[in-house]
Amino acid sequence: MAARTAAGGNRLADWRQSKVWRRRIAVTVVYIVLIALSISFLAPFALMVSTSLKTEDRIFTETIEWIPNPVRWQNYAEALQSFPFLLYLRNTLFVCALVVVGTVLSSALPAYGFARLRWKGRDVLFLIMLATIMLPAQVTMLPVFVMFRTIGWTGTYLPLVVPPFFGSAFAIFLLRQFFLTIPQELSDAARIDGCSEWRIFWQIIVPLSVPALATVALFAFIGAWTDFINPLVYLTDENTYTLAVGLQTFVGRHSSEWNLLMAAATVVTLPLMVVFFFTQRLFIEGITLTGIKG
Amino acid sequence: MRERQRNLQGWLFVSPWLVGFFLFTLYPILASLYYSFCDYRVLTPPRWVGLANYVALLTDRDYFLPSLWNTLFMLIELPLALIIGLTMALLLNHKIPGIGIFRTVYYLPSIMPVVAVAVLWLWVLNPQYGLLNAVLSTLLAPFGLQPPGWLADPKWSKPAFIMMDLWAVGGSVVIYLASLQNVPAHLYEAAEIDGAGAWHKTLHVTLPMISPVIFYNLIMGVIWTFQYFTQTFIMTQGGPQNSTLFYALYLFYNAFRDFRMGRACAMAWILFILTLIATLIVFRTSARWVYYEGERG
Amino acid sequence: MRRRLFSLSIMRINWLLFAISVAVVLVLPACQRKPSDPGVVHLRAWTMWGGDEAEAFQVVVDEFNRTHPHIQVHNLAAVEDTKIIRAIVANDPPEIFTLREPGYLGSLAGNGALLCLDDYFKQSGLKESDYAPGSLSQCRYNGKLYAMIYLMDCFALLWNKDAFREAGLDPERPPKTLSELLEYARKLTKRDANGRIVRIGMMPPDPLIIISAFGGQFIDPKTGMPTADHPRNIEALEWYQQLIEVQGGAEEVNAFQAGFGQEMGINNPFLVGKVAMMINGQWNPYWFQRYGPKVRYGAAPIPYPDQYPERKNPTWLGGNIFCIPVNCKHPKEAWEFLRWTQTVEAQVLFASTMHGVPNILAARKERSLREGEPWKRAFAVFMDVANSPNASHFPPTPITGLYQYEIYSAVDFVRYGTKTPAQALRDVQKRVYREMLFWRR
Repeated sequence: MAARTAAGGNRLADWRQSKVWRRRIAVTVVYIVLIALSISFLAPFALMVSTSLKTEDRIFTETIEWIPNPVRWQNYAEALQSFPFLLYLRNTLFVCALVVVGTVLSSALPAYGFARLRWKGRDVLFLIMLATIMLPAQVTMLPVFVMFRTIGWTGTYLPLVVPPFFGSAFAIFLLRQFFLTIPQELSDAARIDGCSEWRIFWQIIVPLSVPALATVALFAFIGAWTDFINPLVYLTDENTYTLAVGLQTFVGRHSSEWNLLMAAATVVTLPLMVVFFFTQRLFIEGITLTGIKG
Repeated sequence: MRERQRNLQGWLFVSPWLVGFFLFTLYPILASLYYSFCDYRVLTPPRWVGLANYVALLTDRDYFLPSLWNTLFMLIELPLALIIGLTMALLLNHKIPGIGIFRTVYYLPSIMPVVAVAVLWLWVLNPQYGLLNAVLSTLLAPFGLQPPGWLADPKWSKPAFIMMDLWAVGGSVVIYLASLQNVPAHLYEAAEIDGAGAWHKTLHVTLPMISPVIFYNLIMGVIWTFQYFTQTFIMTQGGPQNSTLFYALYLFYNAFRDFRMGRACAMAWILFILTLIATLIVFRTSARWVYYEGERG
Repeated sequence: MRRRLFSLSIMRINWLLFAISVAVVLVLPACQRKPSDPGVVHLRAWTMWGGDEAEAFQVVVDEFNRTHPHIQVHNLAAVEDTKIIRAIVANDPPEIFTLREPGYLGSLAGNGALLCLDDYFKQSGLKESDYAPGSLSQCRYNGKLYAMIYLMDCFALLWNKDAFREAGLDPERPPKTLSELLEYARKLTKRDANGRIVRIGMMPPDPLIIISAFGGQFIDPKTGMPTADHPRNIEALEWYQQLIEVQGGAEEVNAFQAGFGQEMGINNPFLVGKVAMMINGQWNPYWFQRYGPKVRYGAAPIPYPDQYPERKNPTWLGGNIFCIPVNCKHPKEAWEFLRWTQTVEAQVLFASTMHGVPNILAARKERSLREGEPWKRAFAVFMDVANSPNASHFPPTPITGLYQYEIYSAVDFVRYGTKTPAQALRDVQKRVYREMLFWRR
């Protein structure tokens, strides 16, 4: 009898121990996989930085030299010479700022209309708006181009910064979803106090929606920052180029000077990395929000 | 009275979008339909030619149809990205020390500007001196095999692009990760009581619970694939042998290189119809595998 | 409590808006201030040259600006043709531009994008007879003058003497005929222990050059319609296919070529010994002098097809084509610049910095272009080849860009063996013929 219990206890202990071991092994395996993946994800970055510091005669070597020898910081100076980074950065920030302001302002209003007001035609319009999210950009791009060409806006920033002031379907959708979660009683109470819808929107809803607005702003920012085809088509003067188009032009001119190309790529990537490290949480929250609510 | 005022107010609030809708969506859609029936060379006014553009495109075995096929080929990327992204998200969902660092690492490539990614990968994919073939040639040497020429080889150029995009899969990993963390813990507990192992839990609890997210990513993926442009424009300009001449690139060439705005508009409309069909298919089949919590019972 | 929370948030938003507007103002790109001197006309010139060549052109621009104080030309270097076309499509083109790919000339002129220069030319005192053969004809489309040429390019065979010696070939005797060239290419291609190419015998040349070497034809001079599947063209591509085959096939050759470095620099594949022979332009002797002075090489006319001895000394002509867009704001001043480039001084000045072949016959006689530094002897070979009766160039047509692109893709198919030369060229013919009909309608 006693023996039996002892045996049973042992088995339990064994089982527990094996579970601990199993977990340890599992964790080790997970770590190994994670590290292996990390290496393959980071290696291109390492290559980029390493190549960007090489001299011209050390680029084409039989085996890859990870540590450049000698180190040539001059590459960055040379890359920045034919690639006016600061000018392009300023242009890009200018476009981004206007796009962000435009998108946030002009999307919050319709979002409020769709989320918190009841009126005839609302649901039909909302469905139409949802459908436009699925619309491929190419369908509208060409006639819009022709339109801007006719009124003489091509060659300026206007085609890039004006359309955002007419709302973005995606941003409106996001904000609407967020506005829906704000209790209706808040608005009702304000209405009884005689507040106009405009004041309710501006003094109650907007202050409560700062995180959602920030997300929309961030997305508009990233969208404008990485936009390529619109600046490519609309901007003709190289002094007005944004970073993306500027880099593409640079690639065309230095097609196999890999050290300079990598220096330029590093320089273009760096600002976003910095922004990312400071806004990491907002970034990831924003991405998840858009992913989930979609 | 009050009713009318309320309606007016609603329309007023949505008016910014409404104006934008007419100017930048509805009018352009109709205009591009009109242009698609015209010989429109940009510098001279459009001239009506009926269906000529559509006929020319749909019988074009050298550019248009290959560009369509190339784009459809790229759809392979979607299931791959789904599997890899989900696996990575499941890995990252472990609560172990240092996991935050890994998350950041996996996420980094996806915030790199596409133009910079393209430049970097031109170098990574270089058949002779690139990083990828340096690794591959040591792996393949014992078998007497040589690594492929990637962007220099029409058979491998599209897989090269797919690989490059998968490198930046981190964006969707974050989405999957967040949705994984939203799966209620009690469902797992219930499954464990029923004796389900890790595999079963993933299959029968996790996947159904995050299927709406997968569904959303799939649709956006299809749309995104048809607009694939920047990478090819910078890296291959459609070569070698038109193997990376993707739909959006060929459309761009028609409009902004070959003075064929009318034909480009016809391409845009064909694209419009194709996307519509693809979305409908995904929606139709979604009822079978997408699980919405709200619809239960 | 709640009230305070709100006002706080509102304050925060106001701050945010304030900060954003400050940021906008700060980064507001300074409005372009046009130079204010009223008597001076400023011209934007978008040109194809980059690097050292851009500096060579800048010398010319500086000279023009110095001698023409009322006009100031501002050069933007290394501009791709497609960017120029986009600017034309966007209705904001520069006053003067070059075309890297002269094939676009017909398409641009045919679409009404270029200023016709016939009247300017007549009033300028320039004479047809001043011009080298094959120069003005590159600037004409449908019998009208739409461009000015400023120096020409021509092509010859360049070979690495050390590679010849290593392969057991006489370093002073380049291949004379195209079948000899194949034989040499096979012998000169070198592989490492793993069988990978480390040196290619003959760099695959521009197929258009080979077609013209065979005496091929692109346009029927009588009807003006395309003749892509002309028997000679097919023969040329058959030769081309052999050239790729004797060196290991398309995959291998392509992969090897992808590892080539910048041509205008020390990683030039010919200079680092990755290429034993190539057909290339007259700018090379100077580059070799500059980036690889130790490399021993020779220059000779392009080999001719064995069966057509009358095609001896074939060469391909290119040119620096300058155009003025039709909606140019200062056509008179833009023409003044183009007119100046046709003077003998301007030709010699540019030829001595850019190392191109003058298109004005008088300037070709200039001794300083042929004598002096050792590399000029090789340059002289090119100058002589340019006078060959078998020199030709692609005829300007409205579809030249598409036509050439079609031929290049056909060659791609041939390289990979997906289509036979005859098949590939027949497909080209079908397409370009249809396109030409579309244009004529």
